[in-house]
Amino acid sequence: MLRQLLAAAVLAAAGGATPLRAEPTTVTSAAPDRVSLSVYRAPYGRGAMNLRFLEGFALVTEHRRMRLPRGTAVLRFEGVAEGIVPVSAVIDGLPGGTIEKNRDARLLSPASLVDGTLGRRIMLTRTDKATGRAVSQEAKIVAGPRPGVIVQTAAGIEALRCSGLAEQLGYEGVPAGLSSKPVLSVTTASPAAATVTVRLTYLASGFDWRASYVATLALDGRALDLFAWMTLANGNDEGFHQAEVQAVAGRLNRVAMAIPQEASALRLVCYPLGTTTSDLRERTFEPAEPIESADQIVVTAMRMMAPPPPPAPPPPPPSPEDLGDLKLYRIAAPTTVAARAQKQVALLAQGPVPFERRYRRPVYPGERVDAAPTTIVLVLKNEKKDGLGVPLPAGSTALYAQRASGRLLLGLGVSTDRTIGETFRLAAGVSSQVTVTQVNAASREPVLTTPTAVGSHEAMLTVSNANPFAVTLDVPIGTAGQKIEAEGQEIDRMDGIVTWSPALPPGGRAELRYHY
Amino acid sequence: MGKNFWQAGCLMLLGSTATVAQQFPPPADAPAAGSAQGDVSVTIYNNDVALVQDVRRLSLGNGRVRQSFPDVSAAIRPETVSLVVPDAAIVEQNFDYDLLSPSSLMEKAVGETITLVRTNPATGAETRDRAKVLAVNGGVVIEVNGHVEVLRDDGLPVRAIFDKVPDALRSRPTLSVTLASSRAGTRPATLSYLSRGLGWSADYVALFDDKSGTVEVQGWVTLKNTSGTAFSNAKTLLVAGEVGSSDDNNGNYTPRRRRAARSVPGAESAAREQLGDFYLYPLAERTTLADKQTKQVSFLDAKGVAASSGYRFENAWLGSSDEPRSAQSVLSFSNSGAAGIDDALPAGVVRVYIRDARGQPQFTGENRIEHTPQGSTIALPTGDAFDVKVQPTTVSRVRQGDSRWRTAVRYKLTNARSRAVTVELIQGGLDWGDVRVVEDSAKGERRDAGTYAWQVPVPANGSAVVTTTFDTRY
Repeated sequence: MLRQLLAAAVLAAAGGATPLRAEPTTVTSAAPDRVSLSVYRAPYGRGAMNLRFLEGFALVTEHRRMRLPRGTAVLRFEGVAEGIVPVSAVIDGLPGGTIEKNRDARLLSPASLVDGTLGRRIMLTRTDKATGRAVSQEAKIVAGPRPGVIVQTAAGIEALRCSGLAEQLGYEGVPAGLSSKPVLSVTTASPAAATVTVRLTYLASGFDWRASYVATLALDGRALDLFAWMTLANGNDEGFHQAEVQAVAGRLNRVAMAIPQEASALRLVCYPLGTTTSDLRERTFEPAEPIESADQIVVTAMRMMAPPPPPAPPPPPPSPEDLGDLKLYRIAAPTTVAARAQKQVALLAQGPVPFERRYRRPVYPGERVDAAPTTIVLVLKNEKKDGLGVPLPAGSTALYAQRASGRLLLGLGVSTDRTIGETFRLAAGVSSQVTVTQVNAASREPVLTTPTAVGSHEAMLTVSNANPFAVTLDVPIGTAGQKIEAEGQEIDRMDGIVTWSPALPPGGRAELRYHY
Repeated sequence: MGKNFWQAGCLMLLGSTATVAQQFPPPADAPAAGSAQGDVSVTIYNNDVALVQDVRRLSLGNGRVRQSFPDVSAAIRPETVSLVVPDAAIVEQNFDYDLLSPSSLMEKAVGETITLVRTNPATGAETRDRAKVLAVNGGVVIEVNGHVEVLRDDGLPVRAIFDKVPDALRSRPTLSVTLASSRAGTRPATLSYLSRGLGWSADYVALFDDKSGTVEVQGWVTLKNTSGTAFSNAKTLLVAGEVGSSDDNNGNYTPRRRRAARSVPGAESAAREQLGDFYLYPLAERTTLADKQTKQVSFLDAKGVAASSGYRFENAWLGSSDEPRSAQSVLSFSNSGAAGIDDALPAGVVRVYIRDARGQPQFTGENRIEHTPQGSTIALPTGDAFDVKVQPTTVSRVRQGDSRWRTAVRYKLTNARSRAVTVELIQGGLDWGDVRVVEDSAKGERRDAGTYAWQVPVPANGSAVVTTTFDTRY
């Protein structure tokens, strides 16, 4: 033992032989003074966001006032978003520049306390469960934290908490280099003491946003009002108080990043403690009461018997600015983005917008289709002259009809990024009134070519409309470029696909025979 | 290393005096406050390999001595250790990883006697017994005062106290070396080994200004230490390049394939120190690489580098879409001496920023580049354009014979921006068979067997159409 200690002392002296530099001063900035948040969508996100797993991200720009001493100093930045991508951090405004940037992720945890105190003195306290009397004694951690902790006491060597007694470790202090959260710091050398505003920019995960379109059909059913929410979510533990908030639309390329590791718990494993009865089969019984789920969402609002008309939404922000090939939406006034919260602000409001109502059911040659229902889509031209002409970022759509008795939901859907000049489609549900039927017809002429040749097969399409109003139906047949020959009529190609578009009067029916 | 070992072996065979066990002090692996490391230099490569050199002052006696080396990297590759000590030869090197834990402590105590302290749960009174450990198989079987029982069979508190820590058990994996020292005294020993868990890459911040057609590029080297060990006050050297790693040592090490960012490799030499084909990036000052730390140090700051943004759309063979699809936004710049960067670029991630209307930089996408020699032209896809889209349509497929088709394709390019753009339109997948372009509405270029490309100007708030016909034979 003595020899061990001696050898350790010699080694420590050898380690200390290297020249030690003066420790630089540490300046800590607890929180930003001003913060700007640009939220980016998940690159391949569709539909609604999963608030527990937000796949988008944000660019956080923070302004912090910091007092710098003359000479070398370490600046610690606290209160940064938990999902920070540390390598993306950029620090501007330091008169002496950045010597190095560090991100330390040795977190203070039960396991790291043992790890950092290995070989040093701790206080081991045993409490008598019967009397409550606590007995403390000095001990030394000999091994740990994985898979168990071994301590050396005056009595000898013992394994922690294998005896069945209440045992507690007390530490003198927090070992150096451990912190509660990962810490971002920079080393700088200032020519003179000064108070400066430092701009810290970084990317952080755990954010997302979507456009949530709410389209309302007018009473006459000829035009609609299009309104959109910008739905922002922050899954980080940090809130952003009175922040300038922007949302960026478009799809950005991202590079996969390593997932940060969790701080470790202390798991104590003892020597085998099997007893003479421990190999008996365990029996389980039904729990007496059902286990209640903690995942209950409380909606803090009351619904009146007759819902009042929705209040007029706040004015939407002006049209977005171009950011390279992306679109940047700016929320006019500073706003607070709370931790683990979703927030909605108006994105756009347009109306009245005329639309065309189309029914659609694609078929493939040879496919048997039996009175299949059709999907209803409202087709809007995203043009100024048609009441739109604004970029429409990807998101979810909800279509309502305004009726005398209230609002009625007609359809829910999703939409991708639609720029000016494109077509914007609103899902309006499924119709069982307008149906498509396809059968393979027997050829009426003797087959002249081989059975595999193009044009040797024949199919019959029948469509019908049970509505009291006229409808227009699109039936795309097959794939783009495929040769389809209709009998007796000329059929156009739409996006390369032969598409039959019959207009059906109320109660109408139409037929098409084609070769493929 | 190998030579040293053989010399040591010869020395041992020539046989000095028979060694006595007492001459081998147990390794001092009780970690002291502070690190036992000496003057450390770390050379870090890109593919999870680092060379650590550690010069420690050792106080050695004369004759056969055993020396342990605490505070080496926890991710050490023990087979790569080499030690050079003046006036001493290596007899053997050991890497002990039999770790001290409650189970190993009890297992090593089989056949030994330990002390049991039983606590009366009602009164708290303690009784002491000496017990012999008979077996540790699922539970601990002990012999106390002539009786055999199972430890803590009744669940009551029993402290098992061991007299000592067995010599073979360590609190951390420990490297120990037995030396044949020819004189007593303190002298420097150079320990060098390879370690995993230390890596570096580059991170670039590119601030693009569309109006002036320039980009500001800042380069940072990013070191990551996940080795489980801190290296304090270390001389640090980064090597841009991959050394063939022993993990895939089948004699046919092949470099990895290039990814999405494309570059035309350059032929200029950067004014950097080179080691063979590798560029070296030494850190100016000694630095401390703490465990679980990410450290960034600037190595490049270039302003006014000529750059341009463009669009690219690649269509797969028979790719046909019922709605327009976004073209890629591509940022192109060069790292030649004339263009402004004037340096080779080590592999890493380039993050592109553009200033918004208020002058604040906003992120517009990122991509990875591989090691890029100086003078290269880099085309970096940063994302999809919101306003520039292409709709490819297979207009017709006409059978010309048994294995011959004629395919007409139309590409409709739209631009909702208020200025004209040029899209690099590429039709891929032409190397399946013998594919010829029969006619095209705009002059294209057959880049290689698989691709045919057009440069298509699209007017502001307008559209353009390209049609082409392919004749394919299989």
